Amino acid sequence: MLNDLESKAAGGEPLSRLEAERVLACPDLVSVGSLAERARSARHGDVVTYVQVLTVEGDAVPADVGDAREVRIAARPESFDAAGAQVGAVVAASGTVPVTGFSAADLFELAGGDLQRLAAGARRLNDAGLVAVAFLPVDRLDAPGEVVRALRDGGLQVFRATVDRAGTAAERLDCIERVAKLQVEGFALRAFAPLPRFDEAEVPSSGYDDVRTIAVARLVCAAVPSIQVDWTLCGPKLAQVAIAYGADDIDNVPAIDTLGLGRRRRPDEDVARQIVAAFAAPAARDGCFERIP
Amino acid sequence: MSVAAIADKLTVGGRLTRDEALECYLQAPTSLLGRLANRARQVRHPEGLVTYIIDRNVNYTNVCVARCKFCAFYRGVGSSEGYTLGFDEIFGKIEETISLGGGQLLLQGGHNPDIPIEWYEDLFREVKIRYPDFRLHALSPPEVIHISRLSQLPTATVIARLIAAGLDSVPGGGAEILVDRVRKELNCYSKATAEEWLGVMRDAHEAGLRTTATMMYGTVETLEERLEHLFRLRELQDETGGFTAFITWSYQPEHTELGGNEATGIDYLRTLALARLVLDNFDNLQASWVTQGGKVGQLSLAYGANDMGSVMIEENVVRAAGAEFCMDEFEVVRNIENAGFIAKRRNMHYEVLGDPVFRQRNVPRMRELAVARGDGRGGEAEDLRAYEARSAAAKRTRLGQ
Repeated sequence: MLNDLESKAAGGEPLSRLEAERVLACPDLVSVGSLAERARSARHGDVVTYVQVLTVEGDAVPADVGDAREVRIAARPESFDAAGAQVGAVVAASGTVPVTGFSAADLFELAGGDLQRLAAGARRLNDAGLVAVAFLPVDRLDAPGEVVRALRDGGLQVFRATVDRAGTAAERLDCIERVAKLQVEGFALRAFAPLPRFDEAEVPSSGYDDVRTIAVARLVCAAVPSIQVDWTLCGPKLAQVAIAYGADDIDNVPAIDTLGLGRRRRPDEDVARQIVAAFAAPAARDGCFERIP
Repeated sequence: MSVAAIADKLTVGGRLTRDEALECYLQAPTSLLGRLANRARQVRHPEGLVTYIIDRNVNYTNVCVARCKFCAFYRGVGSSEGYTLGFDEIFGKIEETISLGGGQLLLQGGHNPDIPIEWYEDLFREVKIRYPDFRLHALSPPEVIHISRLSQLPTATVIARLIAAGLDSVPGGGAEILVDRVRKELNCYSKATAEEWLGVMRDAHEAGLRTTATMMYGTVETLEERLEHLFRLRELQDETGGFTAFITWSYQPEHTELGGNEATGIDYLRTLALARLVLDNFDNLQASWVTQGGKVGQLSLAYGANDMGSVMIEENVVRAAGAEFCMDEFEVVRNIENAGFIAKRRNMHYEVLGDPVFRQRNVPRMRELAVARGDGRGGEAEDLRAYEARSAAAKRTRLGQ
């Protein structure tokens, strides 16, 4: 059913919109996965990376970063001053662990939609020790490239693109295409997390929706190195299955063992076990996408 | 034989041997297993229907003497957390089930030494008097064996008496892995050996009942033993044809004596797909969204499952071990249709009953599963006092001491 797309997938050639729509509509889900898995393997072999993240909510400062390889501030700041103060405190508590934080869309709003103010704000956050913006929700930004440029002008990295909300398949594909376009324009993103971070409570996305989205992201965003899936958001089972649908990077593995998995295994052991059980080789990385030996 | 050759053999309708099934599990990519299983499902169900049932898992007692190492649900005799439901409590659950469009109870419980066969007979008779069309899918093989031991009656006689009282079909619980080495290690050998479990199913089929079959994998079994389980089911199905469906799920380790890890999502999909290929004489394979979650549960439909199982109004056993997923009829149907299938309600015999109930009348959304007793009370119901107890603790209670 999708045989004619196999050479594109294996060769790292991006699918067109029409082709992506065909994949999204394909009733043979296993063939969709097979195609995306081929694209993943061609790019990454059998390696699947993961990162342990300590997420900092609100204006909190962590007392212990556990096994974090990234400390991520997931807050909507009231001002750049407040954000800078929080970054300073979190960086001080995080030692050598890279600190990322905030949504590019929130920061852009905070700057009143002014790119120069955004760059200045980014500079203040970078001076306080912030390495990268944590989220680049392409669904919330009219011109995500300009926002990325301003953030980088201010010294912040933008490693990955994300999606906040995208309920329909067409909306998800729009987001995927925006990221593919950004990359073609030279924005050098390291990863894309195509699954929406916020789901509709009444009509949540389905397993089919999610793995198809992962697969199409892999096939359309051929120039983006990694397709991410969020371990905490999706749960271990779906996150693992996503590997068979083109994901090669598992984001947001807990940094602190809450004993939620019992005393017999820690989160890093569990994610490694899950990756191996998906016939792949686990590799830990940090918040700057550097492999940890 | 190579995986490619095995795939070719399956494509032309060949039957897997044990060695070939093992080779498939060890060597075949997940995508190939899925594709083969999906094709097998399509051959058996070309009309594109995915069915589900509206029923309720009522666990009438959690008091159990079996003490299986993988179980987080049971309580010992005399435990203050032990409970046995009364008839009125069960009738209340039936009425609620009927109001939500359901027509069946899946009635299972612990091996409670203080519930004699007469209690089950009275309960079943009363249910059939009050709710004549309501179905009782009740008492897994180990429970039948337990009742047989308590009453000193052969299992075939127990089944005959229960049928006379109103039993409609037998659920396939308690199979775990049908290999005695595994059963001994899990401390479930004494509740039913592999041969005893199969024997009860044979008795039930010979008595005219249809039953389901299950497999709980991911504890201490080897892959060969997991496959042995499937082949033993296939052999009995060849003999009797009495199984309506197969349901597999992964062991849920939380709060159990055995502990350990839960098998992964991909292992589930591979096991399900392989089951579809080995069990070529089973019509129906259920998705276990209760243990795998709604999303991986839905993905099961691409790996050989043709049934979304139950809109489970109540569940107590796997919840005790950490699985807390809930889907009401709206969600089950949405997932089926989202996967490209036509959703139909069914009964235990997999006869299509019709379209979703919520499309015919207003049904309240259900956000979480009910539990055996909403207030978490232990203790046995008053009406049990009319029956003879075996344990000293229950004798004292029933004598009011």
